[in-house]
Amino acid sequence: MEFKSKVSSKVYSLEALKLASYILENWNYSLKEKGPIVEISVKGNNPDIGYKELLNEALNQQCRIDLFKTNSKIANLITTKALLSALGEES
Amino acid sequence: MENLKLSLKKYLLEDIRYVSYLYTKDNYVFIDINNKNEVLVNIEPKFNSQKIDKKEFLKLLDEETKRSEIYKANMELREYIIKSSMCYKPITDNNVEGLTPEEEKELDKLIAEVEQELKSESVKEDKLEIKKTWEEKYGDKNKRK
Amino acid sequence: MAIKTKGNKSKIKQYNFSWRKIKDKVLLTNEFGHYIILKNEEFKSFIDGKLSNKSKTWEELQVRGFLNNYMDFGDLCQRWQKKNSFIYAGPGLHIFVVTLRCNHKCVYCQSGAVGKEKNNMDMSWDMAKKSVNMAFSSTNKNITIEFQGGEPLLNWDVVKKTIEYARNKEKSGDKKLFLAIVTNFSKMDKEKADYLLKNEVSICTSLDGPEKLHNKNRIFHEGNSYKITKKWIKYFKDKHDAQKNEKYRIFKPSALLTVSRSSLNSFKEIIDEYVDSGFESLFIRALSPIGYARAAWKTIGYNSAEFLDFYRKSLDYIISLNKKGVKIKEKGAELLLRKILKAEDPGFLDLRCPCGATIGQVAYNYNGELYTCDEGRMVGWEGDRFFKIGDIEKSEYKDIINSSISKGCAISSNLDNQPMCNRCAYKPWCGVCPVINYELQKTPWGNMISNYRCELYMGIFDYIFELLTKEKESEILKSWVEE
Repeated sequence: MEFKSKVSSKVYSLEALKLASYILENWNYSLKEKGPIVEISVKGNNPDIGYKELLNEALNQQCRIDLFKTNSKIANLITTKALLSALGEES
Repeated sequence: MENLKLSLKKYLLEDIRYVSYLYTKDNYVFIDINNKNEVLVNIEPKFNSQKIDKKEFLKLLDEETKRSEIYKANMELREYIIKSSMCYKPITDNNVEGLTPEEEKELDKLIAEVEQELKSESVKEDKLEIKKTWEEKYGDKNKRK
Repeated sequence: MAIKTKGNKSKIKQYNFSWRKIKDKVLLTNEFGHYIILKNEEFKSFIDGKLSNKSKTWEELQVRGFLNNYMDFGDLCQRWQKKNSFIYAGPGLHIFVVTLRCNHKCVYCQSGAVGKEKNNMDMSWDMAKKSVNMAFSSTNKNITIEFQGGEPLLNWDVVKKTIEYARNKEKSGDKKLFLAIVTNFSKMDKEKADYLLKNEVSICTSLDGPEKLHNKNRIFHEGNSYKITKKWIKYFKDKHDAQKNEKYRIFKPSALLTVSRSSLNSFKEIIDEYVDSGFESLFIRALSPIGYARAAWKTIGYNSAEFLDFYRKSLDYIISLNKKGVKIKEKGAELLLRKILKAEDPGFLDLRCPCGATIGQVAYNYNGELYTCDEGRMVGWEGDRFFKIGDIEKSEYKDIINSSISKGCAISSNLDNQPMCNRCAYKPWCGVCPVINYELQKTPWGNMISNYRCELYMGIFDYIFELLTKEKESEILKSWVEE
């Protein structure tokens, strides 16, 4: 069974949709970006549910991508410091 | 199912996305943008008995808008504070000897920068006399006994 | 020294903060670990930028770094640094799983323990020696080697040799070594006990409550697990209490409580059991639905609401005992209170940002495989080596730190990268577990909106802060962290 729809790539970036599709194992997803739209095709049992679950998970991923834009500098600073300390500072 | 129409003139898309995300535990959420630059949020409960409170959604959105305004306004300051915090010698069992010469130089540089900023600022009130130097408050130390 | 920040022309006077409703008030927190509890009207004025700068609340907000036009950089930076002191040190905890063999069949076993007759499930002396060398390569000046299993005493020869080797290494180096063993006591005898004491090995066991409950959880066909546990707890406690002029320190034995479904209606009996056994604290730990525990979850597990109900009742009961003069604390609450009230890092690897995976601890499996942590090792035992960071035969210390999964765990557990955590009022003191995220939600990032572990900690923090708003309860909780 297959379900097809499309979403605005302004709202759900292709990256977010791809990440979401890797996580949801119960369905097969096909994603095609065409300008401001991403065409989604879902195959498997209850593909309409698969579509809804994809968008929910994509929202999670998109919020993370949004946060990365503002927080990545500080987050990377702290993470790098922790890893360098574990390595020994001269590394 | 609940539908909300939100103007991108009033709210940021990131903020709408985040608040919508908060509903994804018990609902399926679908977001779209129409050609009037309005965001359409559609919330469909996963379980039939749930009801979505639109006012609650808008309240959360207002709070998120304020929060993200505050965070944006403080971005540079936060970066400065975190970097300053990381420059300080950590207080751990591993090191109780005090600062190395390089770290002392770094700290002196930071202090000098802040003092320079203070001096160049014009302040209407300085009740706590924070800007006054020791010498201005108590006189040159050579004159003290 | 408080300094007026650079000409703040912005209308926004607030520095970054998060908030959460606690009963009829609002808790505000910031990344320095400061917090303040405001009435609803005060909070609304503050967030709208209308709070009077002449008010006492304004003053308190200022002192605690909630206002960006007047910040004590010295205090705030020092506080941030102290709170995050662990990012300046490498892995301190080294878990040696010296055998997977065990003679118990605990209903919630997550360790992957197998029957004691199984072959080839013991760590060889050669591997143990290399593991000690690896542990001593850590950049952390304080090393803890913790023997676990299965039942570590089933591989006593290797445990004994490892202790000797590690202590000798300590003498010839510049690191401080702490040793610990987690045992069910079934193989303990006086000779082993005395050896462990003389080598300053800290003793830790499991005590799940009164006899019936303990034995129901911790099935031991060769005897009575509860009686054996109690006997040796008393032995080690008596040794601790009687110590005078020994050349070595004797530590008090400690016990961990694992809450299973059977425990949920017995909070009072469990706590009374700990008090009767002479313990001054118990650690109420929720089961994690990972490893073998996941398969048995329907019989032994519970949802977050059920655990939190148990937790609240337990904490209430512990506080009521404190009011009667009984010395007993809840260890988990104590650790959180040290973070909240003292801006300390009490070394609780479960709640760190980034988490302790590899950079805080390393798990050394019996077969030489190295993992980010013990939970990661349990996932590995199920056949999924996602959290494997190296091999004792092939990897050097820097290889395990540089491994992609070590970095991945550090990145995914940084709360600045997590949408919900970044905004959460408990962010200054909380942490995520990439292993649990992976097991339950298929990625190390997880999805906090429906994350079991997040629900648990949110509930625990909520209750602790609720208690901190009540005078008598707050007094007792604060006394738990006074030296």
